[in-house]
Amino acid sequence: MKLLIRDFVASLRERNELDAIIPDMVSALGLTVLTRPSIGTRQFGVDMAAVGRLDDAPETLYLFTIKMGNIGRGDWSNGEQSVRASLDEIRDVYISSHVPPEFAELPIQIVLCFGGELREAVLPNWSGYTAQHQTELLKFSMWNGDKVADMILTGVLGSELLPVAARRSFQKAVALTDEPEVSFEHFCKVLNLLRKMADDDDTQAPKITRTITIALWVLYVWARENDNIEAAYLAAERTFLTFWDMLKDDFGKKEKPDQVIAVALTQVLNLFSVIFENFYDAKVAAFVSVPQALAMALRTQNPIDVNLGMFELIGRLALHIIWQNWSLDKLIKDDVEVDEIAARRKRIDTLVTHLKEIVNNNQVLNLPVCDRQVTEIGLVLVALVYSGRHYDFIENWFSAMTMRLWMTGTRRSGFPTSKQAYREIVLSRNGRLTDEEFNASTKGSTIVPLVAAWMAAFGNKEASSRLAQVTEKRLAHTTMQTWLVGADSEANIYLDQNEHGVALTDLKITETGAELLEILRKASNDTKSDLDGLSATRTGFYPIILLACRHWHLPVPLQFWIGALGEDNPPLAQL
Amino acid sequence: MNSDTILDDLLEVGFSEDSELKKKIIENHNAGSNSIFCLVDNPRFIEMDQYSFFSFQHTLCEVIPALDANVEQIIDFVVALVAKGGTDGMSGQPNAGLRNWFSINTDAAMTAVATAKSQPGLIRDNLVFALEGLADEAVCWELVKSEVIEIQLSALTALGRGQFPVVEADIGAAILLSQIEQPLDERLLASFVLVAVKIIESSPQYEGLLSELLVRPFDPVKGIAHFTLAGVISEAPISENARIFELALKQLLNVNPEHKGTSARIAFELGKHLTSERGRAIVDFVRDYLFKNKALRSDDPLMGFICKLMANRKLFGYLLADWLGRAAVENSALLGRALAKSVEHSKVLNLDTSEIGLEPAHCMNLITRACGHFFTKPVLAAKIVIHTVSSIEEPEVHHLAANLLVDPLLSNYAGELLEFLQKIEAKDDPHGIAKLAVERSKTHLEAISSAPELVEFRPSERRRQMASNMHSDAVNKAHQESRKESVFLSMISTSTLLYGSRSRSYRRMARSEDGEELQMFDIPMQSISHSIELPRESIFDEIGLELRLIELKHTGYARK
Repeated sequence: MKLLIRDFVASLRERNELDAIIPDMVSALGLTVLTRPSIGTRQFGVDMAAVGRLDDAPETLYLFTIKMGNIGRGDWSNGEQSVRASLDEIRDVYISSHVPPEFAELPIQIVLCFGGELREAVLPNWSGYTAQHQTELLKFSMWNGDKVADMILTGVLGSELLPVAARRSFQKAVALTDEPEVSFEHFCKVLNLLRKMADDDDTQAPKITRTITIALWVLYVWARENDNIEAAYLAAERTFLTFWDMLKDDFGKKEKPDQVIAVALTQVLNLFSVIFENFYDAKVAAFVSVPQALAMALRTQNPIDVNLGMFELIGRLALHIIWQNWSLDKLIKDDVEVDEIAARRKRIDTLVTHLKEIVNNNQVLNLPVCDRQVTEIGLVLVALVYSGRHYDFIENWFSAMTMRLWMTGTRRSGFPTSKQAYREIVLSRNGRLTDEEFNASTKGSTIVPLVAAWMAAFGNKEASSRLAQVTEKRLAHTTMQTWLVGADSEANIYLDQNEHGVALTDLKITETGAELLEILRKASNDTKSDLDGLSATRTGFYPIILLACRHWHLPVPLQFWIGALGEDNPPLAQL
Repeated sequence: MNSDTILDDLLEVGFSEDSELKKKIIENHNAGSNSIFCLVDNPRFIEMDQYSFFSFQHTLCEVIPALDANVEQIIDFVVALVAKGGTDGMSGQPNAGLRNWFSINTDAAMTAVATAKSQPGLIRDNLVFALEGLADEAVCWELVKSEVIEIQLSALTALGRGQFPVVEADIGAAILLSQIEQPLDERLLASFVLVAVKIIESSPQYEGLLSELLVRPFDPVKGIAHFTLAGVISEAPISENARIFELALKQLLNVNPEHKGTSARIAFELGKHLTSERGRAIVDFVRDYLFKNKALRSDDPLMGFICKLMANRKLFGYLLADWLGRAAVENSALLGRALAKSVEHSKVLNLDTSEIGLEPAHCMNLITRACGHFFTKPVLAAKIVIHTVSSIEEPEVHHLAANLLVDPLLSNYAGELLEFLQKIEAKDDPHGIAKLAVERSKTHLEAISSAPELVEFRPSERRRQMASNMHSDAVNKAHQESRKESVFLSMISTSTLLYGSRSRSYRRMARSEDGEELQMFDIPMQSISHSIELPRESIFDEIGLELRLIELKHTGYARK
């Protein structure tokens, strides 16, 4: 385990990665974190400040300067960010003028913290410097990667917080990141065990969330080293949903929610975002405009896997765009600098352009293999609608999808199956099906009503007519439906504990689609209170609902997009 | 010499020739000492298998004309021999002997005619051989007027089968005209057509007679008349008798597609007689008439005929260019399907569009549709593209050709196709289209290949295993099904070797001098492998590929 953690610490590539770990680590060791690392604001060499006792020492003010990787000669004294410059700045500026008055009497320890090791060539410099400046009240200490690993193991991942069973599963999760499904299963075992511990003892909850956060970091870094972040992505999603489920009852109440858990929630959200962005920038962004490049990058000979993989990709990208939009709204509300808002907006524009390019350049995205992929389609709709509508693109995409729905339905070959098991999906694509096989494979559809509603709203008569035709001729047995949040969803949607919500059925697919739109609008209004009643909606964290939909493969509730099909919406046809 | 002895002698001679035996059989029979007619009542003959019978059937056929007999006896004997032959194609051979017997015994032939006219029976059933033996045209024309259909048919068949010339065209035409006023059974109609063709051969002024017959509705189920029609199409002089040709072809197209044997026979009949010039005339007719007036079905018998035409090099180029380039979209789709099944690759290299005189829009249709129809034969499609545009100077056509070579061809196939395009010499590709396409495709492939593997979305080991098992099951099932239906496998016995690289067995073989001895059979094992290159899009976007091909097949560029 120690080897695992030491490698993890050594693999933290970015400065802000170690920054993210250290506060949780020192908190778990009993220190109180006073200031957390942040980028941009001037801190006079101090990346983090904490107060408390370590190893029976008297209460001390710890001032951390955090560096990345190994420290060699160049890191010691070259430039403003060098170790020596930071230490000088702490002594010259921070200690003399920035120590909070309540801690002014405490002894101070300056901690040089880094993930790797101090090179031998620099050792004399460190010894000389500390000997020269050390006093009764000012001490120096060095926390290298090995020490940080020890501290993580004795603190945040200690046996008290990570019992043997959880530890075993955690080790398996980390070791098997190249088989993400198995790794994720083991991580979920850890998550469930720790969640139960937190439920059993409220007072342990903050510590446990720290343990989970660090565990997630470890998993991510190992997954990244293995060049397969899938397990970490899924684990981050599940962790975030778990934290929200733990915290949701506190939000919106008078007393503030537990700050430790709230911080952990933010950290996991950030990590979730980092995991996706790193993956996206490294493997996807450069190839969005090359026809078929991403489909080919899946390196599989099975068309079903290509389809599933590509829809998974656009679903995740769309969800990321939705979070980015949400975060942009927050930045605007918080009145942050215009440049930061502009940069975020530019990033969203880029991602939206990429999303459209991916769809245009990988035609496999014009028809899913199974109905449950309606989730990804819904997420793309929401991402596009919330990022400036992009109706032309949606209409073109859905026109192409309509053509394929029509063709595959008419020929009983390749129509998205309502089956969910992988084996059954494979069977549903086994050439032209008999009537009996086709009917069994297409018992329900959420995709057809979704596409039909949009095409009707666009006034695209050809597409509406095709959908009506194929429905009448081939899909008379199919229950056309969509899913709505219900009164029982708040208790179940985040962790999918039980079936919940409402299936809106008997949707008619006709040439005009007028009745379909009318029913969808009515159903949307009738269940608005249920959606508004969700803690995520109440507190403004609406993307969590979409994240839950993605994670558990639920259709995106129509309230997220039905507004875009309003009668008073100028770009859309009047019905 | 009893019938047992005759049988033994016949069996001993078998397929060989033995004039002595024939002479002996005839002499014994005609002397009354041993009638050959007893042979058919011999229990060993009755029990005999067909193969043994056919081994000496020819000897009997040659004996028949020289036998002394009355009409009833000779017909009884011949009918018994024919029956012994069963449904085999050779079973009718003794009838030739009967025809020859009547040509020698013309009085007996006249007796047979008289008997047939007066009563039904075996003599009436075999009247045609008597008439052919008699070779009297006047008697035949007289019998055509009979009210008994079997007699009419025998007379018409005798006239139409060409065993003797039809010279009394005026009389014949008059009789036929009087007959076709009445409703005709299909067998009669077919026979009338056959005779009408004979009349027209010597007297073209009676072309209208054949036209009259050909506008009659044929019964498509029985299909008998269509054999005759096929003969008319393949042999009638088109230039002089365009109307006949057209009518016959129209009738032919009404054949019931369910009647597979008829369709195949028609295609065979047409194909075997066609010359380039004749084929061209048929093509012209098909284009001008059929494509405008009749939507062909892919199972139309004409498709078989078209495929037959494909074997002709010049016609192939003409048909391909004409149909894929100029024809209406729905027809090009059907023809494309037929072509894709039957085309031989090497023939296409000789396609010269300058000879055909296609306009740029036709060329664009041709190359686009060819890429659609021959997508699974990418080298063939590429050959058509290159050869079509090599003699065309339109930059728009070149641009389209290069685009098509890149997508859908090179973007889907990289093996044999790439090799073919890289080897094309400048003289065969004066505009450098292949080179341009290969370069563009290379750039695209490099861009695609540089994308790192998205291992994150790789299916789990569990799913991979499941998909692999399901695939294996499907392959095994298909393999078993194909073995069940294999004609080859039904004809042979198989051995399964558990060890070794060769099979060795010993069989006891007969030796003429030393009796039997063991002989070794040694067969070295050989491996057989087969590989196909699947188009990439069948993995990346199989439904999109289907749609794309439909689009390519149905593209129609308008003439400027």
